[in-house]
Amino acid sequence: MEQSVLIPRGRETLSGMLYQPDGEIRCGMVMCAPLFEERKSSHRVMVDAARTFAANGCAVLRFDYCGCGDSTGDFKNYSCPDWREDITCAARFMNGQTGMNRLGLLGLRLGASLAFEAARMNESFDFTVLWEPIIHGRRYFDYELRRKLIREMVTFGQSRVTRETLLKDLKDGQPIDLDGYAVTSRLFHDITTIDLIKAAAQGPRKVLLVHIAPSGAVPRELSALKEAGLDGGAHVDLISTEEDPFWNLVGLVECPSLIEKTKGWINLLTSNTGQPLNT
Amino acid sequence: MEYPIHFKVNGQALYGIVHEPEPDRAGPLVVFLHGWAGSRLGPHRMFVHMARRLTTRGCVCLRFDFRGRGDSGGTTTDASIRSMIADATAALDFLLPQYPERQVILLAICSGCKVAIGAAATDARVGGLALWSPEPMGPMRNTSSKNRKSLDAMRTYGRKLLRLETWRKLLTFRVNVKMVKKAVGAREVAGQGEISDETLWLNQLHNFKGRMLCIHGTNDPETAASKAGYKSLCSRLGIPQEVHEITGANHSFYGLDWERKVIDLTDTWMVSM
Amino acid sequence: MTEEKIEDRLKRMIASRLFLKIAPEAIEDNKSLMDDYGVDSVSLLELVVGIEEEFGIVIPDEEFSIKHFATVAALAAFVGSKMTAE
Repeated sequence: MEQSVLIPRGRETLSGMLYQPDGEIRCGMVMCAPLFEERKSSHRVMVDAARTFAANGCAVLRFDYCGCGDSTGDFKNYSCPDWREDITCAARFMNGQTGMNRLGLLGLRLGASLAFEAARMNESFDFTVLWEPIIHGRRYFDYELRRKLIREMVTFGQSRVTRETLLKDLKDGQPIDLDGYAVTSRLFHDITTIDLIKAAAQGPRKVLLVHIAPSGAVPRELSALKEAGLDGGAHVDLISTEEDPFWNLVGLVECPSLIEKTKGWINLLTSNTGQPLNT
Repeated sequence: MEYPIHFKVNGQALYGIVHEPEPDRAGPLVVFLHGWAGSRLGPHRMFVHMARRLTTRGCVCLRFDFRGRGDSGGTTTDASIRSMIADATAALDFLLPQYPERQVILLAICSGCKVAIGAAATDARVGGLALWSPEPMGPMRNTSSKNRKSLDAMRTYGRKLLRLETWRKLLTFRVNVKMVKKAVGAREVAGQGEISDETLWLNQLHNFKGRMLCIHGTNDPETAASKAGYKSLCSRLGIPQEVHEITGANHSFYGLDWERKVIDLTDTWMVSM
Repeated sequence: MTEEKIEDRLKRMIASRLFLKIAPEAIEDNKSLMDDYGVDSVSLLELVVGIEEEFGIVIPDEEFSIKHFATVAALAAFVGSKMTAE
């Protein structure tokens, strides 16, 4: 069963979709979306994943952060700490709806980074699945700035700004226009200070890291994140799936391997405890 | 107030959001129609921003995801402009009984505009069309348009992306090959049958008795053909048309200033309806 | 051993990195990357990153010009000029 939900969040309301298994609920999961155009491109894969997990006994809540998607609020007024709090709020809501008091998080790209931090700060999350997490926010932000330059190039024949001028504006406290999204210097600071490897020692305790690429080796930094988690005493699995980076594509994309491997890991986690993740 | 809704088409649930004004405010009922690869949010949440503005004017707004898109049921490979028109009609069937006596406006972007035209041509309830970056339809299409992706590119692009089951269905002709070609791309690409459909809808638009707003970006490669085509169409059919160009804007108005201008112009036009 | 031409390295990279499942050698030097091979602003970013990694060059922001990305031939000339400069 799937239904639209509204989640009270202080003065704001978060919009979401709740997917509940028809039979026994073996676990629960909150899905954390990426930002900007990646949210749009990845939408359908996230829906497919939620439906698959729910059919497999895992209740899933997908939701929009404050100022994003259908949720209330203005994007420019929010940043990473607020969105981490949104994740916690969504989890509380899910607990109320399903009775599951132990839940997992699944995040994609920046959503994975937010999920990581939310789980790091709140030990009640039982597992954390990170699909191609943004490990170093500075590099990701640089990538997004380049995306803007390229879009300008396609629109005007030439890019009209440089990363240097955009960064200067941000450092001067001026917001920039990232292709229709108002990025404030606060958001810039919060994204660019993301460093999951530094935080991994006190990170979430049961983690699945997923590298998603059509080919090639696992990037060094993802392996380093795994090692940092293991050094901190966490249970960390790292897998690869040969799928295209769907968060960066437009049009129909299906990721059966990614969804099946993630489902398998969650099943294993559930069966290892011998009982649903609600104790 | 905003609240989630769903309605069914051929057994599939379509999800949306209704934006309701303060009580006793009596503006039009505006249904938002997203583009081929989009969702009810619109590009960079443009539909959300527009709907919230229009609600302050007393409009009731519905934003929903077409079948196979966004949160809605159905598969992307089964979608077509025809199915999207059916979805739009179903949206009106769902909403109008709750908000009777309101003028119906369809607000659309990109290929959603084709849906709007098709719906307006065949549904007498439609009283206005607000079209953002409308794409050339039927005889308006320019075969040398630089923006059309080659079917070859899309075929090879799609081969990797679809799961084996989908390809099995393709090979046994249980999936319309043209639909798959369309579905895998960012932009809908028409086969000859669809161009015929589009031509028919344009010809049937004499049934539409309302007004049309068209907003184009000057850096949208389709603007020249589209502007000329819709101007000629409205002139031929006697449809009052208002046209605006946003200087520098691309097809989906990827900029805060462009978005703001589109919203302001649409707001002003809506007030005049 | 003949050094691989820049065009051929580009074609190999374009085919794999942009998920075009045509053989690299089937990509023609002077056909429009955007009109004929469906490269858009989203996949262009992958191309830029791929070029920098493959050829060890940096594309300065000021040089993001569509003319350099129009065709494989144009791209090869641009990449060649950057390699020579560096």
